[in-house]
Amino acid sequence: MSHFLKLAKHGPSARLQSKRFMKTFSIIKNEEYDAIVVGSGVAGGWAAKELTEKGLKTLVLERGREQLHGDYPTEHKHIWELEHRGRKTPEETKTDYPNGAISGPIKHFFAKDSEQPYVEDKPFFWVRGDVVGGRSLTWGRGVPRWSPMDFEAPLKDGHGIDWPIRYEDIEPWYEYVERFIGVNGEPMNSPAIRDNIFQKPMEMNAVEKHFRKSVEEAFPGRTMTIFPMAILTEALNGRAACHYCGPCARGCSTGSYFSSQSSTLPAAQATGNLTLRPDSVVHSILYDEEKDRAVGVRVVDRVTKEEMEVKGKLIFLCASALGSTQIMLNSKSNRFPNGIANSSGTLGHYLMDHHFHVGGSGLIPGFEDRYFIGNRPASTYIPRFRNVGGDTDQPNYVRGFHYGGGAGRAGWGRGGGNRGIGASLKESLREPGPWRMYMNAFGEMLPNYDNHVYLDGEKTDQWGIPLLHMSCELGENELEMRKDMRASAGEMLEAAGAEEIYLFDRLESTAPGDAIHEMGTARMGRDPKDSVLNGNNQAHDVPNLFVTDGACMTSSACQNPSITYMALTARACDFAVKAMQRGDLRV
Amino acid sequence: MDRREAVKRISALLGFAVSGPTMAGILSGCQASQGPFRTLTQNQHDLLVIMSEHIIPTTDTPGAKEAGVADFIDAMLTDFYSEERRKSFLDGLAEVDDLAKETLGNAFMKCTDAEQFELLDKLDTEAFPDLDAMDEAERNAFEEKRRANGRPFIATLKELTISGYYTSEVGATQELHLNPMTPYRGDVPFSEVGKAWA
Ligand SMILES: Cc1cc2nc3c(=O)[nH]c(=O)nc-3n(C[C@H](O)[C@H](O)[C@H](O)COP(=O)(O)OP(=O)(O)OC[C@H]3O[C@@H](n4cnc5c(N)ncnc54)[C@H](O)[C@@H]3O)c2cc1C
Repeated sequence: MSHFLKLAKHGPSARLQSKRFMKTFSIIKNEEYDAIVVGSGVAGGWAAKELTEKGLKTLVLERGREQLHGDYPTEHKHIWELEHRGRKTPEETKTDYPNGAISGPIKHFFAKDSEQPYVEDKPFFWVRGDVVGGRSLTWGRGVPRWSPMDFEAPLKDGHGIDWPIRYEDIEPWYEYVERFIGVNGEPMNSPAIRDNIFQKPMEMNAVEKHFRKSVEEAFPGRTMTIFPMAILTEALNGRAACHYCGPCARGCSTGSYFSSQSSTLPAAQATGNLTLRPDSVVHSILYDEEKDRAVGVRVVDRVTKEEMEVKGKLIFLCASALGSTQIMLNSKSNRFPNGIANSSGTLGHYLMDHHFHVGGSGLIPGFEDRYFIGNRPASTYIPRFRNVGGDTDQPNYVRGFHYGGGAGRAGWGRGGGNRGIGASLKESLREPGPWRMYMNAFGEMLPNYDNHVYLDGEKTDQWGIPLLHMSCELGENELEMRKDMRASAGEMLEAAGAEEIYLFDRLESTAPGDAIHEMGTARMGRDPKDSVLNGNNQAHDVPNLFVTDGACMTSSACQNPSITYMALTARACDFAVKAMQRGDLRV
Repeated sequence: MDRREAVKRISALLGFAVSGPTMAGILSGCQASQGPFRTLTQNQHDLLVIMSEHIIPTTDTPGAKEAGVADFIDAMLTDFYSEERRKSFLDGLAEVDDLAKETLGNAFMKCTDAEQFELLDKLDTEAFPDLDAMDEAERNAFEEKRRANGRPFIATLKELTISGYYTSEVGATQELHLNPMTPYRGDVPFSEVGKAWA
């Protein structure tokens, strides 16, 4: 343990970041940057690393407050040391953090809805990181790659436009990213998925091993494995292997999972080319009609509300899918009255998320003599097995879903639901209860023009940015798919001998945004008439403007998306810098 | 994490049996507290100290009293309960006291340990009946009553006591094991651990 602490205090990134220099507006104003990156989360951290390593003087503007690596106030706190024993109060849930993924001990990393409101024309969860590092600090770290069929699907089944790229275009960038961030897992042998470059996997427990065996025996073509995770099981680049404390999302001072703090920002900082300014709310992009280029951004200081303009040759929007789209919609000019780079009129449209909160669980009898030691920050993974060819094709819906899940033993909480008080109750809770296997499905959502966001005509937030409206709902294909997501969990639980099987579909309480994989709204495509970005994440209309977060997604697949954002970002940076150096961008 | 934490983690890992009172003496700060409380009156607090201790008693490890469960309930009532639920809980508490006076002739606090336990145990049995042993008509009557009256006080008290106890330092470290920070092993014999993880 002392070993971990030492790393936390003296790790390379902590040292670098403590020297981070918060420049004032007046200093920034007088410089022209080679590149401006908006946002410092998953995508922005990667853009910062790639651009600075290629020699560009880069300014990263982040609306959230400073968050230094290692300075994580709830990390390693015991439950009795946490405010409200780790619970979020009903008041906080109602006014600030309605989404269930924002728990008490991590809430300080997120935007409060009361301070940063949005308008739900239809129910929507907008879960936003509000610190340096964005949601890279709190994400779930599951990183399955996309596979060739995911990039081919729209062309094949006609839902959405063709992706301007194929798996082969992005594969080397997946490899590049994975070598740097470190991913653990095991080869999956599944047609639906391409393996990452793996460090050694985390072990399954006894019931998960049993479950895997029953699924593979009963359903040839299906497989269960451990989720590929952006967590180190072996040390890498000065970051320590995981110490299995459990709640990763409180921050990890040993840098054992990928976050901007643990990985990309220190690399960017080490080049000497990085300037990072927290508390900098980007209001809009400045567009020069004569040059026909984006020339910088308008920024508002989060605290003082002071306003200024900053100049840059390349603009990378990495403010999260809806954050970037909000900025673009708010960047109006004669040429672009409806938002910059929006000649197609598709900006803000084709909003997608994954749909979930559907699946099942059941008691698995036996295995009372088996247990585990340590907190494994990884669930199990059943890759997509529907609509992958042959007799897996479904009559009622296209695309597919995967399952996360895992087995555990009932804990002390079961005591509240049964009869008994006194010494016998206490004694019975000293032992763990029966094993239960859980399965939660994540499904693909088709792009639909009507699922969209737009700016309010009057109301603005405290930084003068018009509020974003969301109008988005699941379609027929998703609803049909959900029936199968529920039923397939049931048949696999049955095959594994589960008892008291409980199947659920919480359609009533979930809504788009709930899976926190919101994407689309500035999609990539081959034709400037029906897409905002080309195959290099470059705006068709404005060649020095790049959008590399989830806004760029043409379709959603069912895999957790962030590893794909990372790969696309690194690829776009490579393209942009080469194009700039060739003089193609005329900046 | 300081040395004290490290010692506790290691002892949790190895399953050292440190005697309850000794450990409690070292770690506590959990003496039965004196008011002022945020929601409870001193009398209500006293009642909850005793009732929660009956639900999770001191055995070879400390019980609810030493874990400060009544203070936890005070905090929960204040920060997590709506006005309506708070009132219904406190009414339920008063009703137990009334019931003690009616059936045992004494306020709850004045009853013997055994009487107090039996009274709570009886309420618990009523709240969690054996549904399989009932015929259809009995089951329907039970369901109807539950719908009309809501969740019984004893069920809420038990739930609060259990979550307050097992999330306390005493409950998590002495009664159960704290899952250590150690290389993960997914599949080990239960005997190597011996108790549930907290
Ligand atoms: C609980 C949870 C679990 C998740 N699990 C997974 C998972 O297992 N796998 C997976 O792939 N994904 C997961 N995600 C989603 C993942 O976090 C996002 O896909 C990812 O963070 C997106 O990267 P990004 O850079 O686009 O956005 P972010 O990481 O959110 O970063 C955007 C940054 O831009 C800043 N910003 C926004 N607007 C402005 C502005 N106007 N001016 C300046 N800065 C601005 C924000 O403050 C933020 O720091 C999870 C998310 C959460 C919250």
